[in-house]
Amino acid sequence: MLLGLTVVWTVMIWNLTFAHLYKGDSHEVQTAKDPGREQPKPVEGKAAFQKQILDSEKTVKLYLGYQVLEQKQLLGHFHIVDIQLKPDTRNYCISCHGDIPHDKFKDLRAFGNMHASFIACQTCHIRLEGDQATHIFKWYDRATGQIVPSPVKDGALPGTYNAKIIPFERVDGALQRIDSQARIDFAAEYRKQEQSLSEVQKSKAKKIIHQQVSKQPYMCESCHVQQGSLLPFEELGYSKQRIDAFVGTEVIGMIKNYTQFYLPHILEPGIGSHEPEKKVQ
Amino acid sequence: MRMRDTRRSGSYAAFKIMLALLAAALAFPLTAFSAGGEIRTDTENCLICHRYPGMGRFDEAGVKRIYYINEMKFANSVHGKLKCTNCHVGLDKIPHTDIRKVDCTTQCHLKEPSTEREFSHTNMVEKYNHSVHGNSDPNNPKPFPEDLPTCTYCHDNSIRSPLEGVWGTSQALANETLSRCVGCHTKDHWAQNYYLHVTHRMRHLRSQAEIIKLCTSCHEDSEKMSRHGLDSIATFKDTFHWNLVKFKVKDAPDCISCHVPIGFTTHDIRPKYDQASSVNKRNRVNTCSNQGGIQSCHPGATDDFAGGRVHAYGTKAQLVVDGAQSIAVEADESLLSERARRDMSEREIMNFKILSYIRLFYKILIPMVIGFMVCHQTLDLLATLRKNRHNSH
Ligand code: HEC
Ligand code: HEC
Ligand code: HEC
Repeated sequence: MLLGLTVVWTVMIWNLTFAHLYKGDSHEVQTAKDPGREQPKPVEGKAAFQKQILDSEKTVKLYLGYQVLEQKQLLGHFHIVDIQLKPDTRNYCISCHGDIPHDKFKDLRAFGNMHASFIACQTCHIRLEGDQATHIFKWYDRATGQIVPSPVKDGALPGTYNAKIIPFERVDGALQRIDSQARIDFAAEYRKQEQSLSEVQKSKAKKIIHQQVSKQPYMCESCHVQQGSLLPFEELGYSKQRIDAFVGTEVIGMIKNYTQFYLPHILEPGIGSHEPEKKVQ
Repeated sequence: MRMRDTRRSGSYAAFKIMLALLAAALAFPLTAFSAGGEIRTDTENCLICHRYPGMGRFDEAGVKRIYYINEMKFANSVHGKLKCTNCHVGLDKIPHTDIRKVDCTTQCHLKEPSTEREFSHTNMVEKYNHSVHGNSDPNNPKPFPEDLPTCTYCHDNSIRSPLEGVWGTSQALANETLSRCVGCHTKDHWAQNYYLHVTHRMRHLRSQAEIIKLCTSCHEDSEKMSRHGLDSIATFKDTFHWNLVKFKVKDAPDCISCHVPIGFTTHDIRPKYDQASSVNKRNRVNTCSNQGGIQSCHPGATDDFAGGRVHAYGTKAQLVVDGAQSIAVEADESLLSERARRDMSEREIMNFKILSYIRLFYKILIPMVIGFMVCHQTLDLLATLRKNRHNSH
């Protein structure tokens, strides 16, 4: 018994004192194996996921002398961008499509994504017609999901609001925001049970989720027009000067450049078999 | 904050707050400037789209590409005076068709005042290409060129920093200095730019920790290093110098302190056999003493002192002493063992052996001493317990 105790103690002491040195040494010898020959290995599996998805943002410290600023830096981004937007916790489209959802159409994808950071997906992707159309749009807070007053103050930098525009619909005569709790819950429940559903069930669920999603989203000119824009810009808090700018000739001329070769595609959500790549927000 | 620059009194916190306030004041003109939504540099109106943070996409490799530019940050950056197309040559059509990678040697249509020539980073890049990190000779390319760091590996578009210093607070100094400038140079903005251009260079921009993080991001990778015939940074982490850094001792030496002392530049780091290297035997005394620098570390350094080993022994020593068989079959043909044979003198091999024996001796001695002590104490405890039980009966 005593002997056993001594051995245990000795091993413990060894581990606490020198074992790491020993391990360190042998490790180094191993990694030096056949140097000069080994090609760098491509990252695989979990490592690749970590590298490509989780590490694509890093924080950099800026030593300004008087303070140290810690900022979000995007991997491979030369400029200090310091994006301060809070994640959108309310929008359930993002839970599947990610917050950079547009990918297919080369000329429009960056613009689509640019708008998606301050306009909720539903605003462009759902066409409310007839009775349902209320022409009411409000801002909701990205972090809390609550309706908030317009963040567009004079001087606030465009697009950097922590809020997004969401349409309201009329259900049985009552006003209701289009991203109702019931729809949010349905999408969340689907994601939870997805693994156990059959293909038919999945397809049915996706159809329900995309029920309102129009085959043809609103295009640029639906909003960027002098008269009869989809969005009530003044109610949303935009100043006259701003409105003049983004329905002005410079923006509209540019939009023409981007859309002149563009033939509208008919989107058919929930029917095809291909899945959009799931993206980490 | 770089520690060696923190030469200041105890009222550090108050000082910092003051600086922050004053710096905010310094930044104010810029804030005021962009409040109208127009920015000085963006005469081409690129920001009409690129000021939106969501502007971006996933590229073909699945990497998130964000085409957003923070106008305030950009205006305050070292490149803040340039137009976008000065660097992004060819990006002047909408939609953008001619997209090229930015080349840091592009002439950016500013006059370099000392030569009156168009400014570009060409000379810097040329120097760099001839340094140990560069790949200068197209006829004789280095092996594994993809391992070598490019400009943007180390540099981002850093924000210009006002001076923190021994003369007083940053803003007070700026106010006093600028008031002497603006008499002749009547454009306030120009004077402020110029001032920041100078003050930005008056101190190290990275802390010790950041420097070490940057250098080790490659030098820690022993596989990568051995491809180039180098020991990994583990040899530094086994030294007294490293312990100073690790425990955040003020003025502790990081990589730059010895490899880029006064009179040398980071863009021209040379291998130690190159006479132009700060760690070449010829230059060692100067490097250790760093005379003329803000901090002279070992002012009385002699040839003998400076000739000593600075990094600990690593894989190379092991290769020479234990032979290739302890490491790999063909390792003796590799660059690492070739370098190992070149680098390890008889005397160093001897030193390494002595060190190994001492280490081995302690590896055995200490567990034995402690082991026996524990054993002895345990036996003693048991004996006492037994005696007590005996007595109580
Ligand atoms: C449960 C995950 C999920 C949610 C939530 C979701 N989507 Fe989808 N969406 C998909 C999948 C999967 C597809 C691909 C359809 C298919 O091919 O089956 C798709 C397709 C689409 C398409 C058509 C794309 C094409 O290539 O044709 C649009 C548009 C779309 N979704 C918009 C939305 C909007 C707007 C919302 C929020 C109201 C939303 N989606 C919510 C999973 C989701
Ligand atoms: C400014 C309006 C606008 C907003 C906001 C918007 N989209 Fe779109 N989206 C479009 C347009 C326009 C297309 C059509 C592209 C086409 O047909 O060429 C599209 C296409 C799509 C597609 C399929 C094509 C592709 O590019 O892969 C998906 C999926 C999609 N949107 C999802 C979303 C989601 C999810 C959101 C919210 C995060 C969103 N969109 C926000 C306008 C918008
Ligand atoms: C749902 C309405 C809507 C749609 C659809 C829409 N936009 Fe916009 N867009 C806006 C709003 C609102 C702003 C102003 C944002 C702000 O300042 O907060 C804007 C801003 C812009 C701006 C920047 C203008 C400026 O002065 O800052 C550009 C460029 C632009 N949109 C291009 C497009 C293009 C291209 C499309 C089609 C792919 C498009 N937009 C579709 C609502 C829309």
